[in-house]
Amino acid sequence: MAPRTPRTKQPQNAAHAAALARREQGNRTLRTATRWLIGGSVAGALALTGLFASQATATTSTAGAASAQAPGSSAAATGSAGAQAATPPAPNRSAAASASASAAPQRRAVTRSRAS
Amino acid sequence: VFSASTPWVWYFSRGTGIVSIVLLTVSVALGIAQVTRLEARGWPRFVTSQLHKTASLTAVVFIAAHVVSVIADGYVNVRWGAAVIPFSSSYQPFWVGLGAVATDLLIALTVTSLLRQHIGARLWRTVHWTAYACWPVAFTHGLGIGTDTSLLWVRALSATCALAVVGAAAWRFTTFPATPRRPTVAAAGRR
Repeated sequence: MAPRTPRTKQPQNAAHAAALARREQGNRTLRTATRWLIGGSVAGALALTGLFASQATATTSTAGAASAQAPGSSAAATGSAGAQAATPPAPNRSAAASASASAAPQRRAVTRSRAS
Repeated sequence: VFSASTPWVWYFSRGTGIVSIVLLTVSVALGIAQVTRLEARGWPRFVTSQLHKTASLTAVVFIAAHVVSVIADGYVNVRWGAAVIPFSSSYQPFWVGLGAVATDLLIALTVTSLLRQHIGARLWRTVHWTAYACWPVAFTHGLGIGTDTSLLWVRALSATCALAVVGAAAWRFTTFPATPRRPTVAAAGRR
């Protein structure tokens, strides 16, 4: 069987040629917009992930330095402050703190493991 | 790197959540542009239609990544069932429940759109009207439970998204109170 060749439309007249040109231009626009949409979304998600990580790292460094400069601060206290800052901010942390006693130990346990 | 105890998963879930609402906004705006048959020089209608589909499917992928990363991370106590069963979460049941409602609506919108040829235009259109409910529910979920809503740039982004959707919807319902019908063959022939 003979290989199939892509069918190319030949313009029948000037109006048809203009319509084909508009279609081709639309296809180019669509390809570019699709590339930007998907690429921008992936890049945006990765950039935000990095941004939040760097913010947490900066907060950790600031808190650690502040604890180290505090007079009479012990290593345990420094570690505690640094670990607290290293914990990613939980949504509605104040609400989580006032949550029921049954839920609190689990969240604290998660916070400890994350800080380590 | 992306283990259950790694904060990167938590940061990733926050990032995908923000990107998801932006993608939903783009999808809704393009859907409105499509239904109103908006076009411009160099931007024919099929570009709007195809981009609307692409934006919607990309939003589904990012919302799936958001849900999976939130559950896999374990930092907040949300289980698999709470992702699709509204208001069943033990953690922040109302706000997580809104996210589950938005997820369910998006699943229905996606499935009916993929099966549009089989289910008929009337059912598809009926379900597609829920898109106007999906966006505000997802938006409210983000505002209510989002970790980063206190950040200035997140507020600016949220305001931009809200303005885009509200403006597009207002323009759509004031300019086209009913769904524009396709021109009939007779009407097209008279042109």
